[in-house]
Amino acid sequence: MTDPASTNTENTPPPASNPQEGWAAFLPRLKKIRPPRLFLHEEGLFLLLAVIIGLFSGLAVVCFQIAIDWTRIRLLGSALGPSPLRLLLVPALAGLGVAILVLHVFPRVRGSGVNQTKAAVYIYDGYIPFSTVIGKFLTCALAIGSGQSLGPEDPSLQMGAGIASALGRRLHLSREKVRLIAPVGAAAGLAAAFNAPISAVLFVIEEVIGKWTAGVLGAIVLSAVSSVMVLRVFLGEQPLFRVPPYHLAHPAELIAYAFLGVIGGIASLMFAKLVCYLRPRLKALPRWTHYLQPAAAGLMIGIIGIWLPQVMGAGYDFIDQALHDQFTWKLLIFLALFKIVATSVSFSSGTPGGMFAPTLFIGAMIGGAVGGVEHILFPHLGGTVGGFALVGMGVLFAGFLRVPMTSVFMVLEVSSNYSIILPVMIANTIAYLICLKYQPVPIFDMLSRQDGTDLPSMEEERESETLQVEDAMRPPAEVVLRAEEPVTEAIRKTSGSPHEFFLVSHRSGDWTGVTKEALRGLAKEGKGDSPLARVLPSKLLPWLHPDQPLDVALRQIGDWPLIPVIHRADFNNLQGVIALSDILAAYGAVTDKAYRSKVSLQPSGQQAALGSE
Amino acid sequence: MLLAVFFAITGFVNNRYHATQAALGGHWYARGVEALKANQPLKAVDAFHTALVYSRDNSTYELQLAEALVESDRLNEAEVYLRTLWVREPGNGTVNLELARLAARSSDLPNAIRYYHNAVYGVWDSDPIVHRRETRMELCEFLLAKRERTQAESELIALGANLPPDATLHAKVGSMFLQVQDYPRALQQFQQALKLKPKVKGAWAGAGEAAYQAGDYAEAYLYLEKAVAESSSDLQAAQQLEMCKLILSLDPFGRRLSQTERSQRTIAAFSQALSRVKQCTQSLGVNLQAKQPSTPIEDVYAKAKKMEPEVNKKSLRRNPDLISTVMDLVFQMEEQAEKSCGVPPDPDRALLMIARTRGATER
Repeated sequence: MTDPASTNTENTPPPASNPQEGWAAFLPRLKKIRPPRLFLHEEGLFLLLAVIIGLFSGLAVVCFQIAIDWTRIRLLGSALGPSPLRLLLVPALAGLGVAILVLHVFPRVRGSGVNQTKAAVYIYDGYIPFSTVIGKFLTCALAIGSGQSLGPEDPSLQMGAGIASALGRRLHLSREKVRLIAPVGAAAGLAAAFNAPISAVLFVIEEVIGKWTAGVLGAIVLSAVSSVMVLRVFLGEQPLFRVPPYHLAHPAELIAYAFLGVIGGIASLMFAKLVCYLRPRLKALPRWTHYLQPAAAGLMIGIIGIWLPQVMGAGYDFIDQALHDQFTWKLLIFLALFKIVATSVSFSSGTPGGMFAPTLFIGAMIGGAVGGVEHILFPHLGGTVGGFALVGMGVLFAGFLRVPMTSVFMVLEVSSNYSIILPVMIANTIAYLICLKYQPVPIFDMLSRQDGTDLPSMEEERESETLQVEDAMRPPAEVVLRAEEPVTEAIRKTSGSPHEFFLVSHRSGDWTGVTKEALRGLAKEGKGDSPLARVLPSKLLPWLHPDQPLDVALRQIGDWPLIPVIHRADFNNLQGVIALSDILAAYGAVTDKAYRSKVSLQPSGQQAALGSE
Repeated sequence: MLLAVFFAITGFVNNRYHATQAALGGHWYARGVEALKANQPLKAVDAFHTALVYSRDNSTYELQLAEALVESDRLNEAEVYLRTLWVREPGNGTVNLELARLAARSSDLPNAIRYYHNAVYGVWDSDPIVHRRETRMELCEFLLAKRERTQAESELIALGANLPPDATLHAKVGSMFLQVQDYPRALQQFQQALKLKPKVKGAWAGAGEAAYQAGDYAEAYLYLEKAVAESSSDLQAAQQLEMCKLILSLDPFGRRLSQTERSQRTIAAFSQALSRVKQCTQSLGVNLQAKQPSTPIEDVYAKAKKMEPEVNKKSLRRNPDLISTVMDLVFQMEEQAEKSCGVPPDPDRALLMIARTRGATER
């Protein structure tokens, strides 16, 4: 995908630096150079491109949201509760249409879009065909607009990434930049869909990229901000939900929020387990059933919608109502349970659409229900149901999507209220820990593994143990020489040792090394009385500290048989020594452990395959 | 170039979209208003909810929804909507008024007063003076219902000072002043009402009652006479009129009375009070012949018996100041008899009312 010729042109020297050639020779070459490259380095172009991607993504998301709404009004009518006939017919027929489009025209648009974007970044060098953007737009607008229980955020994320990828390719960016630009677009798409740039930036960093680097962060922030700006120009300033005023009425309320964390964690587990159970089984059914699965899912959701129309579609209006305490706690529980079922069925049937909105919906309903019960049992606490619904949204985000940082900031950003931070942190942490314990593989990673890809798991990376020098080092060598010692003394000290290489400590805190053979050679040369510092080569040994990552040791060790591990506050205090074999042994132990754990997490069929490997 | 084209297309689509949204919002709002008029609040709630889907932050729709929710007795939901609106526009008169009504319904006195005051001093889209006056009137009615007379009186004073020349309003405020027992101000309001429109309903009776309660029985008589003539079915006015007649016929301190008439009335009052005390003590089985009076009624009876020889036309003519002394004793006898034996018959009640009016005047 990278055009080597084009990258070479960036290094073309200006005419002044090559006076022999002159203008006549340079002009034809100038015509070949595209104007932006004349003025901008790739870094600058990258940031400018991030803004342009943000603008394009913002526009795409505006059109996407309008398309979903327009489809809903056309297909289901403008009333909040459509007629039963429409409810039975529309989602089913639209599901059939979506299935045909997905199976014949846009095969890459299955799924939510998050894993597809990750796959583009890690497998396909940032390549997302533009047809995927169009396909995602059309199929998701039809599916969500017709009432399938899915959301527009993840598709927006993928559309943003697709637009970014297309622009990057069009501008002949380097392979590395094209790979980086997809998350930039993803952040822009998500930021516009959520109308919340901070959450989008954090999500992309937490789930898609997995690391903070200044270069990418700048581009992601620029694209997210510009896309949100576009969205607000067209669709207005109002946030996704109208959040009622919140204050922690009583510290004892935190107990109720902790309880919400537990309930939210259990609900997240149920949701994740159901999706992970249904999806591979529906996918394994004969191909002809794949035409009918979205239709069947639509029919089922339509039937649910006759009694609970709130379950259909993204459900933002009903989240808003839950935030404003407009449902009884019993109804909220029903809505949460049926939304889990409806979304699992919709998603597993292969209908393209996102999981964010349903997650928020379920969280808001569960939070509202817990708040409602608290209100009945402990009316004197005076907590607001809206506060619980809001925290519930964050809880499901942390538990189901497994993005703890984003979940906290999402609630803060949506509520614009810092006082909600305590309940959010408590509830989200509890839910996250419950899910981490009982569903070790996050939902997005599980889905990617079901699809036969092994994308890097950001959570696993976060949670994986980082090997440090102290995990591999040995105790200090029995013989450590001092630089002031004469050679004969050094020979005497080392004569009884089985080792061949010895560390030499200098008063300055530096370390060098010497072999037995070298010492004997010095003695033969008549330098037996000379101190080691004077006769040894001046090449210093690299040194390490116990808390440094082990890969630093791997980079430092070079050809040295061993290097010292010293105290950070006393350079002559030898804490241990480390050799290449120690480093490799430490890595080997961890790899074994990880492999065993991976095999135990795979579905049984894949375990056999891994075992045979 | 591509970006500009995309912007233009999105702008066009967006304009159409917003126009459609606004139209749908208006359509559902109209349906909600119709449903509310047809007394179908549940249907109205659904319609307003739908209208808000298409025009989310429309304050008018939200207010209507809150009203529909109140009508449907879904007070909590209504309150949440109103609070959201309040956060957005804390000075909005309508929102504050609705919140005040909700607080009043749940007997939340401090919040109700707070929101009513906010509404009184808040911003109104149209007719702010009328809205403020009506809101204060509502606040007064609420305070009266909650028996918060002192607060109600202060609100009524503010309300009465800013009334337009409307006889009905003056009469209404007058009756409210009656409820807080501020009879002079009540009388003023009724007089104002009668000045503006002599046939305003209840104004004559109200003025009569105000004067009657204020102890100005001569004036009360005039108003009550007209009230009874106007509405013979007004039993209270008729009773008060009768009492006024009795008081005016018994009161020895009345204006333009001859000395002889005063003396005669004093002797009659003394005789009336003495017989009331006797009857009362008899019913209680008290021995009035005891040498040492042990109860206040025995004590006052003893004083009366001591004074009885002096209570005659001759003595009273010779010493006009004696009328006051005798009447003071009459009032004491009636008060003690009332305390011991309860509500007295009409002539004794009349004497008591004369006593109280005189006491109030002296004070």
